[in-house]
Amino acid sequence: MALFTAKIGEIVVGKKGDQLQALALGSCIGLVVYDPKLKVAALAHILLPEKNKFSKPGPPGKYGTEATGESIKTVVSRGGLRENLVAKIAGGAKMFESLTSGSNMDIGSRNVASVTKSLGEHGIKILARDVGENQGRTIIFDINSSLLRIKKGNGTILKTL
Amino acid sequence: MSNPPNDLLPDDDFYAAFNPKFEALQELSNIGVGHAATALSQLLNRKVDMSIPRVNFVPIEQAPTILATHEEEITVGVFVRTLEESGSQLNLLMIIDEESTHTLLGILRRNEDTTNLLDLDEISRSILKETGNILLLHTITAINSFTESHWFPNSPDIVIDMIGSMADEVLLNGHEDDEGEIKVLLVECDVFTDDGKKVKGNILLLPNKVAMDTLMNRLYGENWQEMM
Repeated sequence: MALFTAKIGEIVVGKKGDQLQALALGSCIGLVVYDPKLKVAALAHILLPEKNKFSKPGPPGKYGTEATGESIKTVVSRGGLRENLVAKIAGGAKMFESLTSGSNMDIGSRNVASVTKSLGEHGIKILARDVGENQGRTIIFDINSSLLRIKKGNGTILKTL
Repeated sequence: MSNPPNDLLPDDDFYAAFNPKFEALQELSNIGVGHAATALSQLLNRKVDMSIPRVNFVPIEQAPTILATHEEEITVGVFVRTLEESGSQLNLLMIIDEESTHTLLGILRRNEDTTNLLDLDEISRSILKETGNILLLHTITAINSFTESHWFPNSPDIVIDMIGSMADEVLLNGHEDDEGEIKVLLVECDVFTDDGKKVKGNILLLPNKVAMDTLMNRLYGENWQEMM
């Protein structure tokens, strides 16, 4: 029984009885990849959709393009079965209106797109998502029940997925 | 001669404090935030003080915890994006904590409003946004005239939410194409009134790399890199 927190760019992993959380997601994404039968899960706190041409290898959960693959590896190495894996995602908000002017999509939407695409490429189904809008989210994934709780800043629970 | 024990060696911040690049920014924000403090003083009709600006150059992952003790702390953020030609961007963010927000609204609306920050009405949100905007515009105007620059402000944005959730998006802006690890420069300065009740605002200057070069060119001349 433990609670693990994924900081920006990190992937945390837990097993039966554990909970995984990511605090104050804005445009960042919390990606949970888990085996609902064997009760193993990983949570990645993703900052950016992809690397740019200068990026050096970062922490495993930093980029949307890499976090899925890394999460799968992590869950399987802890005893999860590849064919059981499914996912839930939350985050990717657009907090500031003025940051989306011009042709560029906001970073939150690009994060969502990148993670969704990457999960599709790995053949992992997204069972639930709570993305976009303009509010921060703290997320807690309970491995026993496979439920993802989404909290607002004042502690009230927005929804359970 | 023996080496000093490790804990007596100056840390990175020590060097940062003496880096001319940082010194220039510190001076610049002194001027900018000084004007903001004067504006706040006139607005509130109270004496207003400011602290010496602190300069931090940190990996983006660490920035939220430098701005607040806890990522989930609810704060008011007023953001103004200012641009010059050719990708030079100097963004400004003002952060006001919960207690200061209530005090500020108490002064400006003439009645204490202790509503939870997330449930503030439109009038309170609008007051906070315009107050932040006035202070940030004074800051950028002072910086523009001191460095003979032309950063042009966009309209202000207000977000009231967990500080961690606003930090990532704001701090990343203009840094996505940086080489290697993304590090952001935070120039922080506290502005506070001195009338028993404290109003504390934290103003952040967030230049991107192009803006940093522009600033240094204007402060030290074309050959500034040779001086460093």
